Amino acid sequence: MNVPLNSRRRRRYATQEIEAMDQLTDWAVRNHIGDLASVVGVLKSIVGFAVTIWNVSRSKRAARRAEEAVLEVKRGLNLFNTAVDIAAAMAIMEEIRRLHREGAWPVLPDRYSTLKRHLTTIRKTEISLDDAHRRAILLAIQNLTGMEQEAERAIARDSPMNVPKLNRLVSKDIDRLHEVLIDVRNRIGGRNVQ
Amino acid sequence: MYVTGLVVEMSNDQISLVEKLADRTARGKIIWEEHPRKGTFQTPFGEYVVTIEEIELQDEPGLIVIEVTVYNADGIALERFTDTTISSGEKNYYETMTKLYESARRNALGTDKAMKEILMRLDQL
Repeated sequence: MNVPLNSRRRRRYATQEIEAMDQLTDWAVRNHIGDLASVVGVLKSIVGFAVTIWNVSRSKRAARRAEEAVLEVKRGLNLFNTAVDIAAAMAIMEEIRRLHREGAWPVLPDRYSTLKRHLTTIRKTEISLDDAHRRAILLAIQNLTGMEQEAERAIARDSPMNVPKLNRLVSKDIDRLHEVLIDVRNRIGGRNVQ
Repeated sequence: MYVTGLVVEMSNDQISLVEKLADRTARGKIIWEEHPRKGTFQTPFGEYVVTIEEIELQDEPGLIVIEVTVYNADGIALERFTDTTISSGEKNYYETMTKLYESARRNALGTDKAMKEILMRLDQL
């Protein structure tokens, strides 16, 4: 059978290619290239895994830092709002003292209620107040409750109130609240937010 | 039966409160303060305030009793009793509560401090 020249040439090239592949395979087997590739693959997997863990951990740390920053801002805002509430409460106390002197009993129960709401907000604030400051707010609320009852009684019976005593108690509460305000302001200034 | 037990338990707590207040006040462990209501004194404990006052019973004019009230942080009265409500045939608490009231009054008004200072100054003359 007469095989064409081109076909014979292609067969020779194919044979040469197979031989080259065999030599390459022999060389790879002789030099443990397969084992080396496996080891490299394993190493690559380990390194990749470590990098992934490190990236995840870095993302987590970043998320935690962002969360802490948000909390810090929130605490700062809480402190600021508390300082505003205390200042407002002190202003109402000053007004109550003046209204006591003027004997404006019909308007006083409303002022007592407004002040009590402010003080309750301060008492329930999320910022940590020490025992003495909590006690100061508690006693101020208690004094207001007492004054409210006394004012209602005085209005109903048209009887006089002991203004000097009431104003002495209000002044004491203002002084105590002022101490709380100083502490809160210092914490805002010093960023000692708790 | 249950109601009787509950009343006894409440009364025991009230008696304990009076006895402990009397003891701690005598030892100077409690600071009493004036209250807006005349003849009433108060002291805070955590989220609560205890007041003590002399009141005249409405249904028995002229009869003075000592009343103790426990308020919560919102100024709401949680517990209220007098020496007559906790006294029984076994023991009368009028004297204990009168002494407690007097100690609270002296403490709140700074009577003892004033007396000591006056006596000290008199000694210096």
